[in-house]
Amino acid sequence: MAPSRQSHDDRQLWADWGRVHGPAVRGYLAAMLGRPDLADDLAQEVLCRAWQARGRYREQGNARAYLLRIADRLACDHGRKLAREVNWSDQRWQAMEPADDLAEPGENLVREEAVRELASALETLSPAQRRVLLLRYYGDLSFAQIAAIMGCPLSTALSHCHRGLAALRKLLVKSDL
Amino acid sequence: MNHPMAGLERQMEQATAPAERPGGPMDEETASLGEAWLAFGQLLEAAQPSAGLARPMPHASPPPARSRWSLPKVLALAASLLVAIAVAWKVRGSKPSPDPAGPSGQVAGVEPRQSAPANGQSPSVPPQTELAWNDTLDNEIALAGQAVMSVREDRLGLAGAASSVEYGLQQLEKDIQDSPL
Repeated sequence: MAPSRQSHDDRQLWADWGRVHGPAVRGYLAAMLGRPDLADDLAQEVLCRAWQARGRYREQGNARAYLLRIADRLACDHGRKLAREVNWSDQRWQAMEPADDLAEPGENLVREEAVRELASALETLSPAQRRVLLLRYYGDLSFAQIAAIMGCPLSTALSHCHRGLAALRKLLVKSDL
Repeated sequence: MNHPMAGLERQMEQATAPAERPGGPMDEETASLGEAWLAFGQLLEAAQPSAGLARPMPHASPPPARSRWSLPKVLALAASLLVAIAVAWKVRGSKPSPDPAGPSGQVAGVEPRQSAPANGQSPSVPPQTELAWNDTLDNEIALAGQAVMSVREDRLGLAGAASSVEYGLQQLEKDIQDSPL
């Protein structure tokens, strides 16, 4: 392939990753870590790492799975670090020092309520259940792909998914009734 | 794949199917799990509205290539700088002392001035500030001219040393600017 053609393809690849898959990667990281501010930085890190190893991606082909695999590894590494740190997220800082926000106050209230509910829902899940459900949600990956990313047998991934959904049903579906 | 696991996989795929692609008819257990999945998805969307949108990433350009500064290149530059500094130092060290009263400040054929007056003058008065008895004005002018020349040459030597270091720094800056980072 000619260099200019390859350069154009690389730029297109990078644009697709950022535009199509970037929000999902960021969402996955934010849900895994509970830190939207950190998720932004890590999403950039994911794209940079994916870019540096894009030769490996060309062998695999599935961009979303490739990016989420890197995101999952980064989230696990940072999750271990965060367990040893005491940090305040953006929401907690804004609660202490209200800043200007473009959203309407009503939207903010709804969102804050959703953030609290999501946090309590994620707390009911084990880390493995959280990974399976979030990889399934953001990546729309098959359970075989999820098991490969997590490095566990397919049966284990399915079991985590079933138990996680059962825990969510207990919390979310019952509370609606 | 054994049968129970195939059934569990099908059940999980149906329960976690996206809302726009429902997994078809399902039993009560699967439907209730699917309900929990939908509620979970709505929570994720409400809490992180940007995650579901095609919002561009903050920096939509490929990361820059890594710096091409290699260790040998840096070492070569540092060595050339050291050589330039050493040469400049040597040039400076070979220049005569700027002290006009010192031995290098003497003119051939001219008697050196006495460091202390023999007629009992106060030692706090520098001898070269006033004319000694029997010294001619020409000799004093020659001594002063020699001292001025010596100081000027020394200053030129220092300027050369400084220009060598400055040249090395300019080369380093030019290399850094020219190399694609």
